[in-house]
Amino acid sequence: MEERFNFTRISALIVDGDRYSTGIVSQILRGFGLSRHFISTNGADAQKYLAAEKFDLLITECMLPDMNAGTLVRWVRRHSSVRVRYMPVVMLTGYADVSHITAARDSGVNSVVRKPVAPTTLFDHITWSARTERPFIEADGYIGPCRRFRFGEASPGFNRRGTDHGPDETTVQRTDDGVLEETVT
Amino acid sequence: MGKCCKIIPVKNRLGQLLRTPGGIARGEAVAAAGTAVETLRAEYVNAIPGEIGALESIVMASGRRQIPVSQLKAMLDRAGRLLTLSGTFGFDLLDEVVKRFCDLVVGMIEKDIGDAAPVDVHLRAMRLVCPGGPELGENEADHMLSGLERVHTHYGIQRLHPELAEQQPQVE
Repeated sequence: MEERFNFTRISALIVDGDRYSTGIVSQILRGFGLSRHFISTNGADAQKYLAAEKFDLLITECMLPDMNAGTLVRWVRRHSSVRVRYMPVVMLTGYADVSHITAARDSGVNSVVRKPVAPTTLFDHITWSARTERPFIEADGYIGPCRRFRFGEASPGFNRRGTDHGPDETTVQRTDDGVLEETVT
Repeated sequence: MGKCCKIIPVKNRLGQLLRTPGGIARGEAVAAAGTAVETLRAEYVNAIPGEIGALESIVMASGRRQIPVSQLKAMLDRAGRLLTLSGTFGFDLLDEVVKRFCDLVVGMIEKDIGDAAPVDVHLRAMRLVCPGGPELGENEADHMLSGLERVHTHYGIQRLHPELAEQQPQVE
Protein backbone atom coordinates (compact mmCIF):
# COMPACT_ATOMS: atom_id res chain seq x y z
CA MET A 1 0.00 0.00 0.00
CA GLU A 2 1.32 3.41 -0.96
CA GLU A 3 2.63 5.50 1.91
CA ARG A 4 0.39 8.44 2.86
CA PHE A 5 1.41 11.72 4.45
CA ASN A 6 -0.87 13.99 6.44
CA PHE A 7 0.01 17.63 5.80
CA THR A 8 -3.13 19.05 7.41
CA ARG A 9 -1.63 19.56 10.88
CA ILE A 10 1.55 21.20 9.66
CA SER A 11 2.20 24.91 9.78
CA ALA A 12 4.78 26.34 7.37
CA LEU A 13 6.43 29.69 6.76
CA ILE A 14 7.44 30.62 3.21
CA VAL A 15 10.02 33.41 2.88
CA ASP A 16 10.69 34.83 -0.56
CA GLY A 17 10.71 38.29 -2.12
CA ASP A 18 9.44 36.85 -5.42
CA ARG A 19 5.65 37.06 -5.25
CA TYR A 20 5.22 34.60 -8.09
CA SER A 21 7.35 32.04 -6.33
CA THR A 22 5.45 32.40 -3.03
CA GLY A 23 2.17 32.11 -4.95
CA ILE A 24 3.29 28.93 -6.67
CA VAL A 25 4.75 27.34 -3.51
CA SER A 26 1.54 28.24 -1.63
CA GLN A 27 -0.57 26.50 -4.23
CA ILE A 28 1.68 23.45 -4.19
CA LEU A 29 1.40 23.20 -0.39
CA ARG A 30 -2.36 23.70 -0.62
CA GLY A 31 -2.48 20.80 -3.08
CA PHE A 32 -0.65 18.65 -0.52
CA GLY A 33 -3.31 19.60 2.03
CA LEU A 34 -1.03 22.00 3.91
CA SER A 35 -3.31 25.01 4.18
CA ARG A 36 -1.74 26.51 7.33
CA HIS A 37 1.08 28.36 5.65
CA PHE A 38 2.16 31.97 5.92
CA ILE A 39 4.23 34.18 3.66
CA SER A 40 6.96 36.64 4.50
CA THR A 41 8.60 38.69 1.77
CA ASN A 42 11.77 39.45 3.74
CA GLY A 43 14.05 38.07 6.43
CA ALA A 44 13.28 40.61 9.15
CA ASP A 45 9.55 39.89 9.06
CA ALA A 46 10.30 36.17 8.94
CA GLN A 47 12.27 36.47 12.18
CA LYS A 48 9.28 38.20 13.81
CA TYR A 49 6.87 35.51 12.63
CA LEU A 50 9.17 32.70 13.70
CA ALA A 51 9.54 34.21 17.16
CA ALA A 52 5.81 34.81 17.59
CA GLU A 53 4.14 31.81 15.90
CA LYS A 54 4.66 28.07 15.95
CA PHE A 55 5.84 26.65 12.63
CA ASP A 56 6.87 23.11 11.74
CA LEU A 57 8.62 23.89 8.44
CA LEU A 58 10.51 26.83 6.96
CA ILE A 59 10.83 27.23 3.20
CA THR A 60 13.10 30.12 2.30
CA GLU A 61 14.63 31.56 -0.84
CA CYS A 62 18.42 31.78 -0.83
CA MET A 63 18.58 35.53 -1.49
CA LEU A 64 16.08 37.67 0.40
CA PRO A 65 15.59 41.39 -0.27
CA ASP A 66 17.08 42.41 3.09
CA MET A 67 19.50 39.57 3.89
CA ASN A 68 20.77 36.33 2.50
CA ALA A 69 18.96 33.30 3.80
CA GLY A 70 22.16 32.05 5.43
CA THR A 71 21.80 34.85 7.96
CA LEU A 72 18.18 33.89 8.60
CA VAL A 73 18.99 30.18 8.96
CA ARG A 74 21.91 30.86 11.30
CA TRP A 75 19.49 32.95 13.41
CA VAL A 76 17.04 30.02 13.42
CA ARG A 77 19.75 27.53 14.39
CA ARG A 78 20.80 29.65 17.37
CA HIS A 79 17.29 30.44 18.58
CA SER A 80 16.50 29.86 22.26
CA SER A 81 13.33 27.90 21.43
CA VAL A 82 14.07 24.26 20.61
CA ARG A 83 11.07 24.17 18.26
CA VAL A 84 12.52 26.99 16.16
CA ARG A 85 16.14 25.85 16.39
CA TYR A 86 15.51 22.32 15.13
CA MET A 87 12.87 23.22 12.53
CA PRO A 88 13.39 21.61 9.11
CA VAL A 89 14.50 24.23 6.59
CA VAL A 90 14.17 23.84 2.82
CA MET A 91 16.17 26.40 0.88
CA LEU A 92 15.11 27.47 -2.61
CA THR A 93 17.82 28.64 -4.98
CA GLY A 94 17.53 30.57 -8.20
CA TYR A 95 19.45 30.03 -11.43
CA ALA A 96 21.87 32.88 -10.71
CA ASP A 97 22.48 32.01 -7.04
CA VAL A 98 25.49 29.79 -7.78
CA SER A 99 27.93 31.76 -5.66
CA HIS A 100 25.61 31.80 -2.64
CA ILE A 101 24.52 28.18 -2.51
CA THR A 102 27.47 26.76 -0.59
CA ALA A 103 27.36 29.46 2.06
CA ALA A 104 23.61 29.10 2.41
CA ARG A 105 23.87 25.31 2.68
CA ASP A 106 26.56 25.64 5.32
CA SER A 107 24.23 27.77 7.41
CA GLY A 108 22.37 24.59 8.45
CA VAL A 109 19.53 23.90 6.04
CA ASN A 110 18.02 20.43 5.72
CA SER A 111 17.79 20.44 1.94
CA VAL A 112 18.21 22.66 -1.11
CA VAL A 113 15.69 22.86 -3.97
CA ARG A 114 16.28 24.64 -7.26
CA LYS A 115 13.61 27.05 -8.50
CA PRO A 116 11.16 26.96 -10.13
CA VAL A 117 9.79 24.52 -7.60
CA ALA A 118 7.99 21.48 -9.02
CA PRO A 119 5.37 19.68 -6.89
CA THR A 120 7.22 16.35 -7.10
CA THR A 121 10.48 17.92 -5.94
CA LEU A 122 8.96 19.76 -3.01
CA PHE A 123 6.95 16.71 -1.95
CA ASP A 124 10.04 14.50 -2.03
CA HIS A 125 12.16 16.96 -0.08
CA ILE A 126 9.58 17.55 2.65
CA THR A 127 8.80 13.87 3.10
CA TRP A 128 12.52 13.04 3.03
CA SER A 129 13.09 15.48 5.91
CA ALA A 130 10.25 13.80 7.74
CA ARG A 131 11.45 10.25 7.08
CA THR A 132 15.07 10.79 7.93
CA GLU A 133 16.20 10.76 11.54
CA ARG A 134 19.11 13.18 11.52
CA PRO A 135 20.72 14.34 14.72
CA PHE A 136 21.84 17.92 15.03
CA ILE A 137 25.44 18.99 15.10
CA GLU A 138 26.50 21.89 17.26
CA ALA A 139 30.09 22.84 16.57
CA ASP A 140 32.06 26.07 16.45
CA GLY A 141 31.47 26.70 12.76
CA TYR A 142 28.22 24.86 12.14
CA ILE A 143 24.86 24.31 13.77
CA GLY A 144 22.40 22.24 11.82
CA PRO A 145 21.34 18.76 10.79
CA CYS A 146 24.10 16.21 10.44
CA ARG A 147 25.26 16.20 6.82
CA ARG A 148 26.72 12.72 6.87
CA PHE A 149 23.95 10.47 5.70
CA ARG A 150 25.03 7.46 7.73
CA PHE A 151 21.80 8.16 9.65
CA GLY A 152 19.59 7.49 6.60
CA GLU A 153 19.30 7.88 2.86
CA ALA A 154 20.63 11.00 1.17
CA SER A 155 18.26 13.80 0.16
CA PRO A 156 16.69 13.62 -3.32
CA GLY A 157 19.25 14.66 -5.89
CA PHE A 158 22.16 14.47 -3.49
CA ASN A 159 25.32 13.05 -5.07
CA ARG A 160 27.04 10.84 -2.60
CA ARG A 161 30.78 11.20 -2.30
CA GLY A 162 32.75 8.36 -0.84
CA THR A 163 34.75 10.83 1.22
CA ASP A 164 31.57 11.91 3.02
CA HIS A 165 31.27 8.48 4.53
CA GLY A 166 34.82 7.46 5.28
CA PRO A 167 35.69 6.38 8.78
CA ASP A 168 36.39 9.37 10.99
CA GLU A 169 38.96 9.35 13.68
CA THR A 170 36.55 10.32 16.39
CA THR A 171 35.92 9.80 20.01
CA VAL A 172 32.28 9.84 21.03
CA GLN A 173 31.04 10.19 24.57
CA ARG A 174 27.46 10.41 25.79
CA THR A 175 26.74 13.05 28.41
CA ASP A 176 24.21 12.69 31.22
CA ASP A 177 21.50 14.46 29.20
CA GLY A 178 21.79 12.09 26.24
CA VAL A 179 23.87 14.40 24.03
CA LEU A 180 26.75 12.78 22.20
CA GLU A 181 30.00 14.68 22.18
CA GLU A 182 32.23 13.83 19.26
CA THR A 183 35.86 14.77 19.15
CA VAL A 184 37.31 14.76 15.63
CA THR A 185 41.07 14.52 15.29
CA MET B 1 44.34 19.06 19.21
CA GLY B 2 40.82 17.85 18.42
CA LYS B 3 37.71 19.85 17.72
CA CYS B 4 34.73 19.08 19.88
CA CYS B 5 31.17 19.08 18.67
CA LYS B 6 27.86 17.97 20.12
CA ILE B 7 25.62 15.46 18.36
CA ILE B 8 22.09 16.05 19.58
CA PRO B 9 19.28 13.56 18.95
CA VAL B 10 16.34 15.65 17.75
CA LYS B 11 12.65 14.74 17.87
CA ASN B 12 11.38 14.62 14.29
CA ARG B 13 8.22 16.67 14.84
CA LEU B 14 7.53 17.09 11.12
CA GLY B 15 7.75 13.33 10.63
CA GLN B 16 5.37 12.67 13.52
CA LEU B 17 2.80 15.10 12.12
CA LEU B 18 3.06 13.73 8.59
CA ARG B 19 2.50 10.19 9.87
CA THR B 20 -0.75 10.98 11.68
CA PRO B 21 -3.73 9.00 10.30
CA GLY B 22 -5.27 10.12 7.02
CA GLY B 23 -3.21 12.04 4.57
CA ILE B 24 -2.47 11.80 0.92
CA ALA B 25 -0.36 9.58 -1.33
CA ARG B 26 2.44 11.08 -3.41
CA GLY B 27 0.63 10.77 -6.73
CA GLU B 28 -2.54 12.37 -5.40
CA ALA B 29 -0.62 15.17 -3.71
CA VAL B 30 1.42 15.99 -6.80
CA ALA B 31 -1.66 15.95 -9.05
CA ALA B 32 -3.61 18.20 -6.66
CA ALA B 33 -0.65 20.57 -6.41
CA GLY B 34 -0.34 20.74 -10.20
CA THR B 35 -4.04 21.56 -10.50
CA ALA B 36 -3.72 24.26 -7.83
CA VAL B 37 -0.75 25.82 -9.61
CA GLU B 38 -2.66 25.84 -12.90
CA THR B 39 -5.24 28.18 -11.34
CA LEU B 40 -2.50 30.84 -11.35
CA ARG B 41 -1.60 30.39 -15.02
CA ALA B 42 -3.73 33.14 -16.57
CA GLU B 43 -2.76 35.80 -14.05
CA TYR B 44 0.92 34.89 -13.94
CA VAL B 45 1.42 34.47 -17.69
CA ASN B 46 -0.22 37.85 -18.23
CA ALA B 47 2.38 39.31 -15.85
CA ILE B 48 5.33 38.21 -18.03
CA PRO B 49 5.33 41.21 -20.44
CA GLY B 50 5.24 43.55 -17.43
CA GLU B 51 8.26 41.83 -15.90
CA ILE B 52 10.19 42.22 -19.15
CA GLY B 53 9.05 45.84 -19.18
CA ALA B 54 10.53 46.32 -15.70
CA LEU B 55 13.89 45.13 -17.03
CA GLU B 56 13.60 47.40 -20.06
CA SER B 57 12.90 50.43 -17.90
CA ILE B 58 16.18 49.88 -16.03
CA VAL B 59 18.05 49.98 -19.35
CA MET B 60 16.04 53.04 -20.44
CA ALA B 61 16.95 54.80 -17.18
CA SER B 62 20.62 54.26 -18.02
CA GLY B 63 20.14 56.12 -21.31
CA ARG B 64 21.04 52.84 -23.09
CA ARG B 65 24.73 53.50 -22.36
CA GLN B 66 26.26 52.27 -19.11
CA ILE B 67 24.39 50.28 -16.48
CA PRO B 68 25.78 50.54 -12.92
CA VAL B 69 26.43 47.32 -10.97
CA SER B 70 23.60 48.09 -8.55
CA GLN B 71 21.17 48.15 -11.47
CA LEU B 72 22.63 44.99 -12.98
CA LYS B 73 21.97 43.27 -9.64
CA ALA B 74 18.43 44.63 -9.62
CA MET B 75 17.95 43.20 -13.12
CA LEU B 76 19.22 39.81 -11.98
CA ASP B 77 16.67 39.82 -9.18
CA ARG B 78 13.82 40.63 -11.60
CA ALA B 79 15.05 38.05 -14.07
CA GLY B 80 14.67 35.44 -11.32
CA ARG B 81 10.94 36.18 -11.29
CA LEU B 82 10.77 35.66 -15.03
CA LEU B 83 12.48 32.29 -14.64
CA THR B 84 9.93 31.31 -12.00
CA LEU B 85 7.16 32.07 -14.50
CA SER B 86 8.76 30.63 -17.64
CA GLY B 87 9.92 27.48 -15.86
CA THR B 88 6.65 26.81 -14.08
CA PHE B 89 4.37 27.40 -17.03
CA GLY B 90 6.49 25.73 -19.69
CA PHE B 91 7.79 28.57 -21.87
CA ASP B 92 11.01 26.78 -22.73
CA LEU B 93 12.42 29.26 -25.22
CA LEU B 94 11.76 32.25 -22.96
CA ASP B 95 13.32 30.25 -20.11
CA GLU B 96 16.44 29.68 -22.20
CA VAL B 97 16.73 33.34 -23.21
CA VAL B 98 16.30 34.54 -19.60
CA LYS B 99 18.93 32.05 -18.41
CA ARG B 100 21.34 33.43 -21.01
CA PHE B 101 20.44 36.91 -19.83
CA CYS B 102 21.36 35.85 -16.27
CA ASP B 103 24.64 34.34 -17.54
CA LEU B 104 25.36 37.66 -19.24
CA VAL B 105 24.51 39.89 -16.29
CA VAL B 106 26.48 37.79 -13.78
CA GLY B 107 29.44 37.83 -16.20
CA MET B 108 29.14 41.60 -16.64
CA ILE B 109 29.15 42.11 -12.87
CA GLU B 110 32.20 39.84 -12.49
CA LYS B 111 34.07 41.54 -15.33
CA ASP B 112 32.93 45.04 -14.40
CA ILE B 113 31.26 45.60 -17.78
CA GLY B 114 28.50 48.22 -17.80
CA ASP B 115 27.76 48.31 -21.52
CA ALA B 116 23.99 48.44 -22.06
CA ALA B 117 24.10 47.09 -25.64
CA PRO B 118 24.35 43.33 -24.85
CA VAL B 119 21.65 43.69 -22.22
CA ASP B 120 19.42 45.43 -24.73
CA VAL B 121 19.92 42.61 -27.26
CA HIS B 122 18.78 40.03 -24.70
CA LEU B 123 15.73 42.09 -23.75
CA ARG B 124 14.72 42.29 -27.42
CA ALA B 125 15.08 38.51 -27.62
CA MET B 126 12.84 38.14 -24.56
CA ARG B 127 10.18 40.24 -26.26
CA LEU B 128 10.47 38.04 -29.31
CA VAL B 129 9.75 34.85 -27.35
CA CYS B 130 7.33 36.37 -24.84
CA PRO B 131 3.91 34.62 -24.60
CA GLY B 132 1.56 36.34 -27.03
CA GLY B 133 4.45 37.32 -29.28
CA PRO B 134 5.13 35.95 -32.76
CA GLU B 135 5.57 32.17 -33.02
CA LEU B 136 9.21 31.46 -33.87
CA GLY B 137 10.08 28.48 -36.04
CA GLU B 138 12.82 26.12 -34.93
CA ASN B 139 15.37 27.66 -37.31
CA GLU B 140 14.50 31.19 -36.22
CA ALA B 141 14.82 30.19 -32.56
CA ASP B 142 18.20 28.56 -33.21
CA HIS B 143 19.33 31.64 -35.11
CA MET B 144 18.33 33.92 -32.26
CA LEU B 145 20.04 31.77 -29.62
CA SER B 146 23.22 31.56 -31.70
CA GLY B 147 23.16 35.35 -31.95
CA LEU B 148 23.04 35.59 -28.16
CA GLU B 149 25.85 33.04 -27.97
CA ARG B 150 28.02 35.26 -30.19
CA VAL B 151 27.38 38.20 -27.84
CA HIS B 152 28.52 36.07 -24.91
CA THR B 153 31.63 34.96 -26.80
CA HIS B 154 32.41 38.57 -27.69
CA TYR B 155 32.34 39.60 -24.02
CA GLY B 156 33.99 36.39 -22.77
CA ILE B 157 30.93 35.38 -20.74
CA GLN B 158 30.70 31.82 -19.39
CA ARG B 159 27.50 29.90 -18.68
CA LEU B 160 26.56 29.71 -15.00
CA HIS B 161 25.44 26.11 -15.37
CA PRO B 162 27.36 24.61 -18.32
CA GLU B 163 25.82 21.21 -17.49
CA LEU B 164 22.42 22.57 -18.59
CA ALA B 165 23.61 23.46 -22.08
CA GLU B 166 23.19 19.86 -23.30
CA GLN B 167 19.56 19.78 -22.16
CA GLN B 168 18.50 22.95 -23.93
CA PRO B 169 17.80 24.00 -27.50
CA GLN B 170 20.85 23.53 -29.71
CA VAL B 171 22.35 26.51 -31.50
CA GLU B 172 24.32 26.53 -34.72
